[in-house]
Amino acid sequence: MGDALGSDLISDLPQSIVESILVRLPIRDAVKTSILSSKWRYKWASITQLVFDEKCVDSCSDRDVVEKSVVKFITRLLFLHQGPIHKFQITISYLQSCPEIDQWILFLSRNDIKELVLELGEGEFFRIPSCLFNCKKLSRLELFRCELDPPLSFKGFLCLRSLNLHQVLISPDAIEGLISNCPLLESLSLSYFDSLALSIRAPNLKYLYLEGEFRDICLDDTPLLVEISVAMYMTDDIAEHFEQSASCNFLKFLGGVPNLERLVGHIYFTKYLSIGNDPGCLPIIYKNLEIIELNQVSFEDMKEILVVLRLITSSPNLKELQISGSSNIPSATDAPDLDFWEKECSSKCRLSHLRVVQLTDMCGVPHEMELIKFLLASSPVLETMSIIPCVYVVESQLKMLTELVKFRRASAKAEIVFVRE
Amino acid sequence: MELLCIRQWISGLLPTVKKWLSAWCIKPVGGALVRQEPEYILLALMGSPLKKIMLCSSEKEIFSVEEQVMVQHSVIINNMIEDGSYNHEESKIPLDCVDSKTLKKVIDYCTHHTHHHNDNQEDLEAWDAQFLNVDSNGLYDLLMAANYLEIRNLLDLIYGTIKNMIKGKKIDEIRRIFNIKDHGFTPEEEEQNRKEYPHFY
Repeated sequence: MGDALGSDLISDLPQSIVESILVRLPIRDAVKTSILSSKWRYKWASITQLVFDEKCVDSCSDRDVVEKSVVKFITRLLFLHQGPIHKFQITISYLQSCPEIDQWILFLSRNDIKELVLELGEGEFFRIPSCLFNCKKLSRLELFRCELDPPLSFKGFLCLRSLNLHQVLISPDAIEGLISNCPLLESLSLSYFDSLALSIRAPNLKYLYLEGEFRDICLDDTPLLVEISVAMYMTDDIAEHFEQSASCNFLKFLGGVPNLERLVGHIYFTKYLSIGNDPGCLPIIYKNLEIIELNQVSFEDMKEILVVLRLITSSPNLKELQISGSSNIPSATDAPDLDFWEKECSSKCRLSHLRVVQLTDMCGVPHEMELIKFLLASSPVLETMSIIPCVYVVESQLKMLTELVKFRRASAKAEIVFVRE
Repeated sequence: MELLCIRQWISGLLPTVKKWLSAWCIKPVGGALVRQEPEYILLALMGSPLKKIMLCSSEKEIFSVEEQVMVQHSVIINNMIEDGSYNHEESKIPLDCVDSKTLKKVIDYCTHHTHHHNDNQEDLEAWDAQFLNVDSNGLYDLLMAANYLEIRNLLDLIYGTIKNMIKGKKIDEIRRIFNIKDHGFTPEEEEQNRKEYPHFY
């Protein structure tokens, strides 16, 4: 490329094409084109996406110097910029909260900002200025380590589709208000809040990710939810609060999501669902639920096992199931309520689409074996079942294998893969 | 041979026949030069011709290509076919801003990507790299054609190539690649830039 006889065609490309190229460059390279030639002086200045990361200025050993130079770079850039800015993203760990950031957000609020991502350093949380709430066209907001305090007159972001708050200080009322006042909200992600009690009303919500210590979550109005992923941490406070509540968490959380397609639960999620009265036979069938992943299920807690079973039996189109156990040391070979399996699981229960099952951290406790037996007997199209035993129980692996071999299989094609270290 | 025998023979010896037929790929029809894809002749013999459309370059050369291939890649052509403004029997789509050489390349790209979309990523990327091994005039023509026809993946590919001509490179090098002989700055401005940003030169 670059024959001496050719002419410079690239500099005369239409601005829309030039912008498509510049937007794919790191911001530093895009701005560098201003010294390429007089034609290129201002081509970069109208790009609509500004993404700043650790590499946008030269690094050096003195953090203060680098921080000052980043602030200067961004401020100068915004000053020279022309036209609307649709996306503004800062992911710089050495940038701490400073007054210039307020000015940048004010500038953005006057320039039709649609996507804002702010991930600053680990120091003092940045307090989001109130001008953010005037950004009428905001469709995506991601904040890390900030303080958010919507004014009383705030009526919501009418165009917001995606909200991601990670370690954000905001009152529970404000968060509930924010969620329910954004009518187009499709994706919600909340992580690292302290003891949040939340009732989510979002009629268009499709994707929900929760991680942290949640005291109480209620999905009040989320009929279109398609994917849920929850990692629930438990403290003693929260555990105590749960002992006292009688409402059924399973129904509060999963009672109103008939269109669910994928459910992922980590840490204490199954425990959280098991609290409260047993819903009995569920009033809801998850006819689109194809993938269930539940981690750290305690097979010594009958209520948790019941949750798992209710989920499986209410998902007639389940294709993939992944469960990981969390039993510590296997207790005695006898466990209470083993006859519960015969009572609850009628032989007529068929998981007619289940193809892949993966069970990890299995210790060989009786209820784990009963679950495997149930799955093998009820899945006529099962292709693979992988069992990865817990690393601490080398002795009982042979016992597990012996029992496994006896189980009847509904699917002639089923392969059982027992993974040993 | 009877047509029936030909069909049976073809279905048994498909790969060999394709090679044999590729020698027949140019057939004069009417006054214009029409390219016939070997697969089309093969399928015509087997009784199920693929729908073809005619594209006309700025030099009035006509290219016949599978409708499915162009519709999958070009938003403009897809819209034309969908809203019924294209009549298969008679009309050809005039592309006055695309010359024959470029149009042939664009058709090659679309055809390859339709027929090889199941190939693994590395093979496709290697083919794309070879495809874009052209001089800057050729690249410019391809870019304008892809932009006009709205062929998203070809556009992204070309944007990526041009982006790599800029990313991480010094100003002097980019000027050489883009053939910028006169940067248009006054000598004072150029000197000032070099003093302020020495690491970019």
